[in-house]
Amino acid sequence: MAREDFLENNKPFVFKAACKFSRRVLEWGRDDELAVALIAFNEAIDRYCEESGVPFPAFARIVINSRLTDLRRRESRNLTAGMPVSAPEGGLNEAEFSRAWEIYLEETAAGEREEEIHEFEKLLNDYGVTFDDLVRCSPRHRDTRLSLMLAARSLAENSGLREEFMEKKKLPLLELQKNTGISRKTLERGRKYIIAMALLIYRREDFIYLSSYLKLPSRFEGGK
Amino acid sequence: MESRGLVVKAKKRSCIVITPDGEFREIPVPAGGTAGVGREIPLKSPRVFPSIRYLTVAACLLVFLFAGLLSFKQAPPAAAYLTIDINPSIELAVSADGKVISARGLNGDGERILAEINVEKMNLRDAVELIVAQAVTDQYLKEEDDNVILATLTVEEGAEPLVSLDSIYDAIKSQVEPKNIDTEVIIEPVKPGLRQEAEKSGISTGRYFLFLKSGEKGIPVSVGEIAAESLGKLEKAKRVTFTELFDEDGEKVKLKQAGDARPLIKGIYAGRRRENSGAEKEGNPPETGKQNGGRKSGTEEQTGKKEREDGKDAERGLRTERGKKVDKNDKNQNSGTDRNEKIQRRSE
Repeated sequence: MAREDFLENNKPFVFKAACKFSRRVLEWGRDDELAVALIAFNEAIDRYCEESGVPFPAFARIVINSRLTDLRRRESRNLTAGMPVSAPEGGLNEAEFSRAWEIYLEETAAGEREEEIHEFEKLLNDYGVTFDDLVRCSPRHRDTRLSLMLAARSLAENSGLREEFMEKKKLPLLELQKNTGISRKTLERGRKYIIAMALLIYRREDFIYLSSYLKLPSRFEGGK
Repeated sequence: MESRGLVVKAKKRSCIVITPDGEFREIPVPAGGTAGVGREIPLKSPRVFPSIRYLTVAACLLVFLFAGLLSFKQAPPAAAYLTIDINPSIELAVSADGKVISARGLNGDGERILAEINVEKMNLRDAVELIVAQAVTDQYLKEEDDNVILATLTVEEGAEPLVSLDSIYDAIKSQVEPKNIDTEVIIEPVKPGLRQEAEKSGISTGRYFLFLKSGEKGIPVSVGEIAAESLGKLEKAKRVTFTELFDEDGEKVKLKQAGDARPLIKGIYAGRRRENSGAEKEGNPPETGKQNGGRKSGTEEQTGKKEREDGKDAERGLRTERGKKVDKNDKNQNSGTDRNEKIQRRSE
């Protein structure tokens, strides 16, 4: 079954999200949180709609987080009554519920997106790159951008090169030139752009919004 | 999607966005909207900055072009006009800073001279020198002739002349003197209105002025005559000396001789040192003679002897050997000592 495979493939993502929420290392089969998170992820697959403008992983994470919040409340206050997200029957009609959820989703997504971008900026600064630099050196031609993106990808996906890069915080231009066949001049000119893109590709799970916005190849495919 | 971007950094007036196809751009904050980080905003027109920049450049160019056109149209605000009449008549339009804006020949000879030289953009003084020099080269001014150079400079009423008449006089003299060409030099400041009248009659301001003066003095002369003849010939034909004609007011010259500050507005009237047609002038009363240069002509031998006695004037001696008569009087301030000597000689 496609869905079961999909769930199986994304267990690491669910695990990561749950751990982050709980602020501790969880263990499959031991912690309720993980089970709740996986159910929430399944729910997210059903409920996800692309029009919301929120990328699926981010959406799934929001759903997971809200379910885990529910769980925590239930445990702490011994409440059986569900929260709006899970229990539309408590006086709220369907429309009100979905409206409230939309607002919640929007706000949460906006907050997360902002946080993510700030985090990305910080990461870039570690490599000596600022957004202003990127404005200056991001190639105007789509073709050039694509080829630089390609270089970034080959850097991000070649573990040897990537480690060298992350350690020295310098691009292994010679190897990239060999691997991609792009001229050294182009690579050098787009150095900062490659750095930014390589970091984004490599850590695309941490930068869900950005990577999905850029339509970078994502591991999540066919959310629905 | 193409025209939208995700704000990654917000600044005071602009924000940096990343477009879905991976381009980073800095764009102005959209009007009214707040551009918080993480927001997706429309990029109104791609590359807003460059287009504005190009527009600015284009606008600047247009302005320059326009200004250029305007200044071209208003370009020749000639501050003054100088005419020179030898036989060639030439008019120079002079800008406020004393440069020649344009030159035109007022008769065939004038045009011929201008075809040979270019005086535009020159200092007025240099231009006058060049024209006179060319006139000498082209035999309009000859050693053996009765030469007259008549120059007029338009001067606005109540204003100072644009260039001092003396400097024009010097310019003319510097060209004719070394070549032993004796000329009568008249430099007359005229009102701009006169120039316009002259233009209507189709002759140079100088000649027109001459025509008026002749009329005042009761000398019968027609515009046609004035226009056609060279001044030297005209002088001969009408048996007048133009310096005399103009310089009816002896005061000016007396002042000049005394070395006093001569009112700038007055003209310069310098007669010839020698006078071939002196006989006609002998009847003149002595006062006028004083003003306008001596009309007494000695015989060759007499003058020759006198010149030779005067060791200083070897040059003049040479001239007398060639059979020229030498006049004894001189209005020319520049050769004041010379003149004094001659006056003495005359009284001998």
